[in-house]
Amino acid sequence: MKQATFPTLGAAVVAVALSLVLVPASHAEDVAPEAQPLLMAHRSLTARGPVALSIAAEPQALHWAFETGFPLGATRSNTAGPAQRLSAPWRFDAFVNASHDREVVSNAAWLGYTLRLEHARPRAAHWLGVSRGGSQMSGDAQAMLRLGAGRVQMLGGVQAEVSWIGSSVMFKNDSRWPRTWTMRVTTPGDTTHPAGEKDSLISEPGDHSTYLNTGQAELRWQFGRLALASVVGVTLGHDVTARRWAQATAEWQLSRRVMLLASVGERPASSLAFNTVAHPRTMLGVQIAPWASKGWAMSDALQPTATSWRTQALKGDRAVVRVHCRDVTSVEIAGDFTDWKPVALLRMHGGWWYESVPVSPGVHRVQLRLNGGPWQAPPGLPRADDGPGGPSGTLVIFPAED
Amino acid sequence: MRRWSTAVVALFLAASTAWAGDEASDEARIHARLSGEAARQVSAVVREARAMGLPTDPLIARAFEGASRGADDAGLVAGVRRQASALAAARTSLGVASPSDEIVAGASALLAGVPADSLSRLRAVRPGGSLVIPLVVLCDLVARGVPVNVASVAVVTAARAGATDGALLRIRERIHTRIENGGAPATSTGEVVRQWLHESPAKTKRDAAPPAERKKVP
Repeated sequence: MKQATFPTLGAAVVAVALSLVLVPASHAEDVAPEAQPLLMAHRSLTARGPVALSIAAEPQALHWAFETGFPLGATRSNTAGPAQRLSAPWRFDAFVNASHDREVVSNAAWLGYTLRLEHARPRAAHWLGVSRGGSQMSGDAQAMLRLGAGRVQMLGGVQAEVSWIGSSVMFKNDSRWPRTWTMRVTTPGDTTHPAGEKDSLISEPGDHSTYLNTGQAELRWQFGRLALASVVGVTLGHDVTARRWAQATAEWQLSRRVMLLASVGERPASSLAFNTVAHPRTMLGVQIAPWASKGWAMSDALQPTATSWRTQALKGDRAVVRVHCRDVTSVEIAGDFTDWKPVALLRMHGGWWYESVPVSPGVHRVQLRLNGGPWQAPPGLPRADDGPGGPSGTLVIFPAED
Repeated sequence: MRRWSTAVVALFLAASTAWAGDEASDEARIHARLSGEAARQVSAVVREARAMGLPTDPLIARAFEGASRGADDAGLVAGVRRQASALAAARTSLGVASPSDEIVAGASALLAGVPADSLSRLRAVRPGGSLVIPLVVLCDLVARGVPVNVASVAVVTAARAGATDGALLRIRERIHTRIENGGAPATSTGEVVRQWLHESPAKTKRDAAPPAERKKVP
């Protein structure tokens, strides 16, 4: 393993300090959940689209990666009552990624498979993951299986994460990891030396498996479309020199589909297994998500947006309102037909939320609120910005047809 | 003759009872939601509007909206008064026989800065038809940054050329798309309306008011 340039002690101190800070904070969030952006959304493929391709230029190599993923469900919605805030967003994602490093031309692309389960509260999140394969830069071992767990916490405007990743790895036929064994050699006697046997140590390339532990701590700041992060970590293992590493990254969401990436420093394959946005070395790159969601990735992370609004008039002066937005824990509407009292919508499948509300035929004003954030005009509706509550939508309800 | 007199008196009594019932119900809603002084002043504005024959629900809704957004009493009452004035002005511009939906939509347009004569011109263009959707589209264009005079001319021109409600909503969507893609609001509005006018014979024929489409909720 390569020796890193950053001290292990520093990484350990940061990790321990963050852990101490995070433990008491975990109780507070259960008592008073505040309206904050959902964590982890920046890692969610559904925030960037189902497919992403990244190309990174490194000092002497070119690295590309392709990733795709899909939510597997496990989302629990609370339907106890319309006034109760929907919460407890479990999320289960599957990822497949392929990457290639031009430095090792002979190798085909590496494939990685990851399953990740998240539980995100407004100001904290936990995740558990299992991964196999993935990036294998020079000096890295082949991953047989990785297990990971982490905790993310908002500390003011900073997102802090501590995580552990255990890896069962195999150094396959690598000359830097020789297999050593003892062979008894019989030497024939001659006139000067009698015949006899002696032990001889033989080192030759061979398979060498071991178990690695990686601990890492990350701080992440977000300023509009710019996200900065610094991560430090240490990788330890039996018969393996400890590897201390650190990396600083910057991500700039240029447009809905294009994100510029930059990183200084390095991080091992184990650290990349559960964060498909990260890259292994110092690089400048670009990530393209051709079918990106309507809001660009970081806008979803910072301020989720609704993408669609549907209204269907029913008999008896009622209407069904449907709103589409992903990665949110609550959707509320308020309008003149609710006497401007918030009404929580109920979660359906596929990012849709709905509720049947009493509304008579006519012209109405309505607003929408996601995750307890600011009130906004619903998407697609004509706007009327003459009210005291900011932009609102104009809802025209015609009598229901027989 | 006597039977007719009895019927008229009964009708008058029923109307009076309904009027008084509405008034009592509105008073109760206002006092349940607003603080004492604000409730008193808002109730006075609502009573005055009812006496003038204006729709009162928008006034109560405006008060509740202000309360839910944390407006202070003075701001809340001022907002309700502005709304009442706009409703009265909208009815004057659109005609006293205009239904309440049109008056509400017209008041929104006036509060957005649309001049009153634009409402009168729209009424002249569609003397017997509903102006709700044209007024909603007009408000929306102004909210999206289209200058008031450009938006007014665009909607009046399209309506005069025979644009149905569905066509107006599609024009609005096209303008919206162009603005989202970086187009200047005024330029985008002019281009879309000119393009629609160029295609209007076919459009008008296609949009010849299928009832289902006219009732489509935007």
